Amino acid sequence: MDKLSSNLKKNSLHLMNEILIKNLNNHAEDVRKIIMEEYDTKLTSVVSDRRSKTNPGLPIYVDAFRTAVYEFPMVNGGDEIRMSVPDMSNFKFDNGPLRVIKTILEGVVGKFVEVTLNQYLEMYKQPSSSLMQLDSGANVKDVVYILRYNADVQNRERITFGKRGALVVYPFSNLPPIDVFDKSNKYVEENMDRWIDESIEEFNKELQKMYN
Amino acid sequence: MEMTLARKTDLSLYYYIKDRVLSDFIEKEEDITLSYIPELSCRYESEVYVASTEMIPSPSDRGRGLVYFDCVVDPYDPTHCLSSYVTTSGYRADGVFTSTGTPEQSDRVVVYDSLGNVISGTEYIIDYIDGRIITSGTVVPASVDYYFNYISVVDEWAAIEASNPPVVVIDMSGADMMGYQLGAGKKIIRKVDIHVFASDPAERNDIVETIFNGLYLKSAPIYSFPIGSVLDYDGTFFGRKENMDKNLTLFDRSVESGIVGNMIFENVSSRHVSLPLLMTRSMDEVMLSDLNAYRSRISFDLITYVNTN
Repeated sequence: MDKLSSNLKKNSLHLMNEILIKNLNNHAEDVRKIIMEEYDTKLTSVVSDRRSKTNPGLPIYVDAFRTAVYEFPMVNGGDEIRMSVPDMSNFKFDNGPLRVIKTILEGVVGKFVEVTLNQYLEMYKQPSSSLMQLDSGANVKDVVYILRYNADVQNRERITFGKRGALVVYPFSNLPPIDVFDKSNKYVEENMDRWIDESIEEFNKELQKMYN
Repeated sequence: MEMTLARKTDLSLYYYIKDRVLSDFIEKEEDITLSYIPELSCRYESEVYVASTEMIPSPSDRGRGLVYFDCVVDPYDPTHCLSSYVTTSGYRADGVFTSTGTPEQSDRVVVYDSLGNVISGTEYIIDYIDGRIITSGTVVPASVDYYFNYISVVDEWAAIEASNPPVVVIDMSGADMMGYQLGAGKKIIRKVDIHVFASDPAERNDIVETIFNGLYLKSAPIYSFPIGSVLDYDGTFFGRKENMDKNLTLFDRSVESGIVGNMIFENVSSRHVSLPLLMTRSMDEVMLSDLNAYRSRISFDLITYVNTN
């Protein structure tokens, strides 16, 4: 009798976990959509300069961000089921395009300009020690540096490219942080109780079906 | 028009961070020469002197300024302050009595004449923002000792660049409101981020820990600011231009009516912000300014309970 009760308990727990994970995964899809909508609304419309290579509306950034959002493990099963939503502390901005996005989301102080690798070499005649460590596989025409637009950079720009200059102002210069995750976090906070209640209800129905 | 509750909350938080939480980050400068500025002066009526200092960060950077309150000194350890301001009873600038007033400082700024004699505080007023001494021509100040706020505290992102680090930015964003009791009343939750910009990691860590400790499990009063904030638009203590007696121009610390208790800080968290030093769309880095080099962000919810709708 004890064994039967123990098995019943184990099966019920397993079923409950399964239902909860399935439902949370469905809701995770909505969370991802909210994040991508926020990205579109808050980032892609900001940049009007077509020459900007750090425009988060460019496919290279949108794709990289979408991939990272979809790869983010939101629902974690196991003994405890956890749903974690991306935010600035747990989201991994670990490749080139995502680093650009991270810099935009964190905000920067000061005026910056975008400098391509070729422009950098024209201005400084030699790569910096940091430049030497470039990924050998990187496409040279894609490389863009964001440099503080200080007196030195302004002088070199004038000497190299003439009075009119050639550098594009980094469109997110002196802009405060932009939060694209807040809305999704709020959405989960507001709905989590309801999602759990719905899962319990579904579990009860399944249980009734199994033992009727 | 009276200030809105949002503005009072914002201002109260600003003063709490600047005058209470960061009260240990105060530096003293001694024997600083005062230079007469003829362009700003009107002979025998308003004579303006500025403290000429090479100090970096400059005391007159945006968000810094001279210290305008005396602290309550620990009788057992005169180098230690028990509180960062004095509370006493007296009169505000508009003549109304208050039992919760704070007078303008009496020993944080000391002005001397050319012989090294202390000039009485009734002979001049101080522009605490720009570090200026303004007399009516009855005395000739020559030098000054003062305390100034080492950390610049500002409330807008655009102002950060106007100061050298360390800079602290208080950024209060959107608010949610909900009911909290039967009948009238609401709970207001405001999201606040405090951004810290320091000149090295040790300084950043010190400031972050100080602010975190000042918020975690703490609360602060929301002042009603019946006649305005501490300083006037020109950086002088509110009311001092019209009244040279510091005891008749107290800053009123009476709290806002209709608020249940203090504003409460909840869900306090902090994290360092490290931006890549150089970056590309593939795999390189970005050179960012010193201001962006040592950053941190403290986030929390600021909760207020209001009795009316």
